[in-house]
Amino acid sequence: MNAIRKNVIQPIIDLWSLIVGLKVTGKYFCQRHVTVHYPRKIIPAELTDTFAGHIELIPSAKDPTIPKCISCMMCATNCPSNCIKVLKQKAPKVSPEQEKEWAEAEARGEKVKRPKAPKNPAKFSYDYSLCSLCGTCIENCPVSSLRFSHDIYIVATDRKELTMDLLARLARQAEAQAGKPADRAPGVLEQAAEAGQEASAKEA
Amino acid sequence: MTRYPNMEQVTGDFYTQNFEKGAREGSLILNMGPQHPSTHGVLRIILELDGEYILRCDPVLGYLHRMHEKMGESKTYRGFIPNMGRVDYGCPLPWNWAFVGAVEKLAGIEVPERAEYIRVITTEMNRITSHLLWWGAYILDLGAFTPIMYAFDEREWLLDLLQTPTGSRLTYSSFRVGGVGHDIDDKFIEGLKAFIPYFRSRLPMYKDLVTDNIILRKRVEDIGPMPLDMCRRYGATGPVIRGSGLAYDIRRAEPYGIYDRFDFEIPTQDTCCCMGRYKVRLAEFEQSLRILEQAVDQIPDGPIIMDKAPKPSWKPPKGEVYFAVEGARGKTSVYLVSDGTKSPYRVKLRAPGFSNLSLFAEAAQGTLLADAVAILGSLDLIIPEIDR
Amino acid sequence: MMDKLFAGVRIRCLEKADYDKTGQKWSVFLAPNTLLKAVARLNDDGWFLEDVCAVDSVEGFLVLYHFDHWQKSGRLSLKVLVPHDDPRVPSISGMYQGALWHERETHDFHGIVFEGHPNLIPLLLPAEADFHPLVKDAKSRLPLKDLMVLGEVVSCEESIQALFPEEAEEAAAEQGGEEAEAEAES
Repeated sequence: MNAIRKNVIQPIIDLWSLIVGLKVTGKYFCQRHVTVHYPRKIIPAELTDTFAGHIELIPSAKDPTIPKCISCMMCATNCPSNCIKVLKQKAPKVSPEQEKEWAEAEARGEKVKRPKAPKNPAKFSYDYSLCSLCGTCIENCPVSSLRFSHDIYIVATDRKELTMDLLARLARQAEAQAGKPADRAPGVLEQAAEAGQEASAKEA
Repeated sequence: MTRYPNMEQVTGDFYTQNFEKGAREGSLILNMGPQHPSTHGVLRIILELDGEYILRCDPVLGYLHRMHEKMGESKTYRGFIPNMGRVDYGCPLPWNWAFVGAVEKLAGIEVPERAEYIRVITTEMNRITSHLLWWGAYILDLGAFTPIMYAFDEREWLLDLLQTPTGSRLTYSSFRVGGVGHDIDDKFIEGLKAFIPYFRSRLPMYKDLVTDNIILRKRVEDIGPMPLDMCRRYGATGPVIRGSGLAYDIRRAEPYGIYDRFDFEIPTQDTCCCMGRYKVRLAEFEQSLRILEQAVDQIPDGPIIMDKAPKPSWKPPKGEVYFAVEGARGKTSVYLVSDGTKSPYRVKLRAPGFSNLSLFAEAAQGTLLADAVAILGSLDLIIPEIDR
Repeated sequence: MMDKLFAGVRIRCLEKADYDKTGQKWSVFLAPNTLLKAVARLNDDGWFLEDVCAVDSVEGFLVLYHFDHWQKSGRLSLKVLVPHDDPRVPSISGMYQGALWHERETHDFHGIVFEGHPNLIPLLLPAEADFHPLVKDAKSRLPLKDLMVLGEVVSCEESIQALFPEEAEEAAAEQGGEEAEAEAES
């Protein structure tokens, strides 16, 4: 009896386990496939919205080409990878005559309002190849001028392309926004195309 | 000058010099890896074979070494958190927790309720994704290609969800000292509530497709016995020790966070073989789902990070601290010595995979080469974590 | 409980650590020559090895062995202080084979020689590396009293007590001494 069990019944049970497995694969073979065939299809935008890509500047309410940034350098000093470089703006140049006039006015004891340097940065460059996306810059920005972009389609063939000028990026975004109806934010494909333009512009 | 004056005299490979000395007459020394598909990355193993049987073996590490412990000494406490996401790519959130937990213990920081729940939810989801990755890859090691596709179907769903509180899909570094970095929203909770019953309904399919499959069972049953005494001598933890019949889980043995509030079991198997470890991990899916269900129901509203959370220039008090959490691979712990400055004086990362892999040389002795691959896979190795 | 466990082993300092603050329940200072005897006791009592690591300080390398137990809750750390110019510790890999790799790693990082280790070649660092990355230069080394505190001292030799001048007095005077000190520090 044991011999029958071992040599006949058990192999049948074992073989049956394979058939059960094949039934599972057969069932799924007939169903719709679940993968997204890029680039013929892309994943829905709601999935890219939560993705934290490289950082970008947030425009101020008044002018979409100027960021809220006040060049306080908190992001650059706290970055553990030193991937942010911010250049402050200089005070506007004053003609010698004007300077003389102010000096005289000060000598008279009057209060002179000299022009101050604008707060927004002259240059904001960011090296994505060094960034570890830790978010320290975003958390420490006193005026919330930084955020993660949702660009998942970023491609580069050279390390240098990953050094981004975020002010230029902001200007491009503002331009793209102005050319379109206000209620439609740029989709992922537009952003991908934009990244491509950026790369080709650099080559030229 | 090198540290090893006799280095020039070593013929062939430096790392095998002591191994080769003991070789038996007529045996074959075989090199497996570091680019071998079944060693999960860049692990290299030197084996001495008699026919197909392994006489001795010795893993060679260091191909992915990045010296995280030295980086820790030069970075601020905030700046070191991204490193924790990169120690173990399969299950980075327990590493996050081990580090911020150590700092919080040192400084006596209380974490807000909601942050504690978010930590539990994300860590348990991470445990499931890690076990799914292991499940698919292990079956792939053993020669079946299909299951990893099913595993990734579920894994992708979870990764999409985890993207909300972490922002990334692989190297999460979303924990902060005193809380977490991002909140979860209703959409996330809804998605998770839909995922739990779906995943539960898939588990019988896993059983039909793989666990009951006679080819798999012949490959893993009674292979690679790891008795408890052996586990103790090597310091093995996690599913490896639970697969040997001991219900040792840091979430119970040394409760941290709010794990004492949840009702869950510690699955064990006392067969000590690869199948035992396999079944433990599959049973942990169900336990993680149970924790998730309870956490999702209980999660309160409130802040996600403490008031006046530490800034990057923050300085903790002086002292030493050891903090352990239960990662997907076992006891994940951080030993931290602080001298009261902005960066740690010494950070020691205790990787569970490191201890688990050191057991391999003894467990694989006397087995067939093909079985050694089954044993290696059943340890659930993530090489970056072992090399650090 | 620890007195009984280590009865007959010469211990330089036995202290009960503050678990809520340090994550350790017991901490034991040992001389290198009594280490094996103490580890054998732990082995018989069913403890398992968590890790081996070292901390560089002014007084020398402090080699740490963290042990934990499956049934008894609590972490025990053995601490062996060895001088910078001749850092030698006996290898415990005969009893705990898991220490084989931990000791090789510590040898890589700090250059500590584990006597009796069968295969003390680099584990994580390349063979050509002629440096130990975690050894600090003399300027950035700190004395042990700045890095850790003695908890509730059960027994202590004077040589160890001398390493922790204020802390030891304070801990003896009142239990909350270390917290007060931490506050004063910040």
